Amino acid sequence: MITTSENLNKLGALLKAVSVIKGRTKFQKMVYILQNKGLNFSEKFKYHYYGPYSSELQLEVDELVDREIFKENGEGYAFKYEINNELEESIDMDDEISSNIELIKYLVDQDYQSLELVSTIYYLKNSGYSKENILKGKLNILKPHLSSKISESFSLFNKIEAGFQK
Amino acid sequence: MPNHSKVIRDPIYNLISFDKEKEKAIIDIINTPEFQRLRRIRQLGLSYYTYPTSVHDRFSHSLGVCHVVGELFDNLNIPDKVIIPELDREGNNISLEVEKDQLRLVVKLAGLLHDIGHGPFSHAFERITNVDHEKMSEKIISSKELNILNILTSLGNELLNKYALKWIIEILNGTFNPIWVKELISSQLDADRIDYLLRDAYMCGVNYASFDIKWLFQNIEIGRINSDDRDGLLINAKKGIHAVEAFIVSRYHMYEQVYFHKTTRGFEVIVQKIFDRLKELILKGDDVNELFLDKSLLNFIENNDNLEAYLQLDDFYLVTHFKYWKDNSKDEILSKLCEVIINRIPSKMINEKANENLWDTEIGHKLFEQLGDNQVFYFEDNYNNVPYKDSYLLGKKSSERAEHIWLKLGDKEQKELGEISPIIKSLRNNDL
Repeated sequence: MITTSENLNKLGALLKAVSVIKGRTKFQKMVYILQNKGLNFSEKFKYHYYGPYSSELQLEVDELVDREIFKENGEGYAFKYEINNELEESIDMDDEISSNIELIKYLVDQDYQSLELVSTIYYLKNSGYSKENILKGKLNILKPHLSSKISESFSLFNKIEAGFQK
Repeated sequence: MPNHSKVIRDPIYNLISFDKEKEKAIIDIINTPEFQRLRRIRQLGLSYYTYPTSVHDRFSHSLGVCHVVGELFDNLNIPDKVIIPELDREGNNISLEVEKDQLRLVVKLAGLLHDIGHGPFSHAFERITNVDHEKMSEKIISSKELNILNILTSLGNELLNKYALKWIIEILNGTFNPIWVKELISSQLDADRIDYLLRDAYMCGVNYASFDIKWLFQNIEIGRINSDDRDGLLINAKKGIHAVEAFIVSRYHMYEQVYFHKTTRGFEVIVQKIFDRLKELILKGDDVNELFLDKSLLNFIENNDNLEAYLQLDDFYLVTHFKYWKDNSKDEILSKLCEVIINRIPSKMINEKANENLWDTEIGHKLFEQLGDNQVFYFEDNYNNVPYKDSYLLGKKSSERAEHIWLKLGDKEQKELGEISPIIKSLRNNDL
């Protein structure tokens, strides 16, 4: 059973690995995708308009900001998260994060909308959708505002699933 | 005079009624064994150790949600025909035209079934078994071995027979479109919250959940959410703001006084420890035949896809085992933990801090040493362990887009509740 402290440390290790994550949406989708890649993030996600979302995760990020382990700064309509260098040592190494560093860095370089689509693909697959044409059709229904990026998102999804090569 | 309705008395709404013809499916589902099981699962777990009358069950809550979502639906500006985007076999989009009454039935069925997958002592149970009650709900609803699938595919209407099951599952897992339909069951202003706040407060005997549900419903409409460019639920700011503020304040009070009550939390953590100890003993290879009066729980722990085993599990089953383990378990720790539950021996709170693990402090270390063999009775609790997490209230910054409550100020202007209500702004920045 994963404790809250372990969850918080894992999130800390994640941010430490990439230094900066721009946007709550990106943070949420990265964790969901990593969870689907087998990393032991225990947060529960539900589907909302912008894709899989965990209120639990958001509260944990807020707690890390309150503890001043994360720095949170508004940038336009988004929040930017960075590690507080003075408290970096309070974050223990996390083996899963260390052994998936390439994937994590790859994800953080993607825009939040692509991650929104990829995480939605994972969610739909977990809900029983399997055929690509049906998945694409459902994605068009759920994400009309991102319809131009849907094909590209399948390429990204396949790349992530294939063990990912840059 | 012929009675066209099945009528059920309810302390919150006075009467809940279902049309025997138009809502026959609802009545049929209520009568299934898998739905009747919800009578044996308490809505608030061990809250009755703090509030003795909070013994209501998930059955009455599910009926309540079904009723409330119907009332909410009837108050909304829904057109006579609603377009639901669907897919043909090749994945091409098709538009289905659904009558308002048909959609109403689907939504009420979703409300009725939203908790059907819950297990006993849900939160603790899910942590030990890695089961997700929402996934269990889907399995129960769509199982060919059970009864609900058959009811949902025999609704007497070709369209509903084909799609109702799928739509109910999508409403419950959030992927239904239009999204405002799903928001009636799961959002910051949904039928689930409305019912459990009113019901929990009433059954606990507290007066904290006081909001004008009828006036709230009068002032909600479906409209275009500007920032998301989609249809969603909007509240008339001028007339409805006080009702929605009262709703949020009720949530705050219930959270502080009931859901996060230290005595209740203490017992819930002990139940968690019982499950943890049980799992340790099973892994250790202890004689499992001695541990269980009936194999359903063991079967489910070993295989959490075992639906038949899962449906045997309810509060009565578990409490019977707690009593059995208290008196008969060779494992002293398991026996002592069960004694705490059966004989209601409350834990004592040592310290309450925001954002600090007692365990990390010197005091925590010394305390742990002194406890010796009784270390199992030491625990820390935090917001993440609580079954009811109210992220709208607990969040420190502006609410997440996923959790916005939108108010309509005029024809075009919309604001999130926290932006214009000083009461809500103040609540959200409190340390709960």
